[in-house]
Amino acid sequence: MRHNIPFKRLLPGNATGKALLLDEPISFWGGINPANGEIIDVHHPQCGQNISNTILVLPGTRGSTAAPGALLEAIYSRHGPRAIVLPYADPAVIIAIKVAVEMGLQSIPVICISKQDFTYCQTGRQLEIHLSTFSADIS
Amino acid sequence: MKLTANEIAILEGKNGKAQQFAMSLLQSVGEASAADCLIPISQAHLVGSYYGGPADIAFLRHLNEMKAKVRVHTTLNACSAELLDRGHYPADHPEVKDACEVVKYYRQMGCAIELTCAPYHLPKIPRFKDNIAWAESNAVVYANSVIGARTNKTFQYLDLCAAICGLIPRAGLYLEQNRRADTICHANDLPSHWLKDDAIFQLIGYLLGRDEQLGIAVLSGIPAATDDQLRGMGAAAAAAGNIDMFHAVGITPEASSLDEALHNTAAKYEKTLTADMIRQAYSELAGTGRDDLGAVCIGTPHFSFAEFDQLVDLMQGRKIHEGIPFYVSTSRHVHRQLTEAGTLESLEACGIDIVIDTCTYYGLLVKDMAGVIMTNSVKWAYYAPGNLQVEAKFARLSDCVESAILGRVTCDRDFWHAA
Repeated sequence: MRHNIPFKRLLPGNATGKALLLDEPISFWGGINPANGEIIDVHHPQCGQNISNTILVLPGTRGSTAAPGALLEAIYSRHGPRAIVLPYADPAVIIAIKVAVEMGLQSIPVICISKQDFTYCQTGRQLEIHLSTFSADIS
Repeated sequence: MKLTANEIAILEGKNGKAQQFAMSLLQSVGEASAADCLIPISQAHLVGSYYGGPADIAFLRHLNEMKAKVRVHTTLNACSAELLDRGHYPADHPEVKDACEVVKYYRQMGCAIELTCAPYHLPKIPRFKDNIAWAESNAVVYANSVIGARTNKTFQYLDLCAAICGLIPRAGLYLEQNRRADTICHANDLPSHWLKDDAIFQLIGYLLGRDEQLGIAVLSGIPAATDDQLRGMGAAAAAAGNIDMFHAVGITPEASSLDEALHNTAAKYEKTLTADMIRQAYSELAGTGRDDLGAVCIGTPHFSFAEFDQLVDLMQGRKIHEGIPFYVSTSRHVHRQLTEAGTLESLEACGIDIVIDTCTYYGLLVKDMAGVIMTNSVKWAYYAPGNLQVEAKFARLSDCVESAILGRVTCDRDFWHAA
């Protein structure tokens, strides 16, 4: 069964894939290994998981102002997420993807949803962003 | 966000592809941060001047192909290696080559090659109420708090796009109402002899950073502080937490009184710093108590001219113990000042090794060192163990000096225990 979730679009594109729902904000710089997409921040509850090819559902970002560069490196090495879902418009994410698109890399859709709707985006669930629909497979 | 006719024309390509992209990025970030318009900046300080990876190099090359140029005075942060051939880094080392390539692209865009995390030591410092776009966290806190210039912690690439257009979205700390202190931090109960030493300011900063409830805090009960002490506090606060600004009553420019800092409103939260909190903070940063000294690393952020004077006084002409590296990171600018003042020779005669352009917590100099590394910087003690796999020990500058002369860790324990 698919459940439609209201969203606001921040950057264009369509994507389908499995959710990776993070319990805490992430520091892209120093918090992920851009060469393979692995979360390496030992203080993060999902340390050891991998953001590559996921629909990354992210409560937020924190840490260094170099965060856009680190996310850009992951996208460039083909270890970025397929899409990013946020509860607010996060500048670090938007900057990284705007730069990636300018370089001719694949555009990664970014959308904003209410924090309550994160419950539909549990890790491993199939999510789909298609035009004006964002849906989660909750069967 | 509202754009002017000229900004819309730039967005449509009037001034070429580089400005078109930069304007488009400013617009997206402005929309994301609910800015109402773009405002001019008088200068920028960029964070991306170290080697970040192949994507970064490719993007900087792309900007150069589009003939990107900065439109305002733009300086660069410390980079990932010492670029001058001074014997610290082998010139053919990949880290040096990568760092040189990054800096080359920024130079071609018109940036001043000073490579320092302390842009406030350079000649063209911003003035009170200037709007600037700085990216290095300690410099952001210093600009907002000590100078009273306005900047957010500007993200990488946003900083460069701001420099290319000479504009930044007006949001956050560019707005007067967002510079108000939310909370009060009382420091009245701390022993007065502590408040004469630089180290206490860093420990206060560490405690400010660690308390997520504080936000912009106004510190009350500090009788006086030098600019170096204030910047030490800001650097520690920004390393340990997400602090962009603080006030100190009677000291910082937007806090001639508690009411001014609070914009005549009530504080949301108050905290009293106790001597025990400071001792606890010190013990969290003081390592495991081993006394085998590997090296001393100071100058994070880059050492100031005044701090070098202090170092000369503490050395009293004595020599650093043989085999103990004593590194001081600083900028080319301060290094030139030391040369002109004749201080450099006496420092080098004592065995003090000055590192330029970079920071010892980045690179090759002390990585995997077996012995304890002492530092007078909370920021260094906070970041280096993770970056470099070493044991760090935060200590007062005088303890760092005495240990380096003796060749093993020694600290004046009475200082922190006497009431």
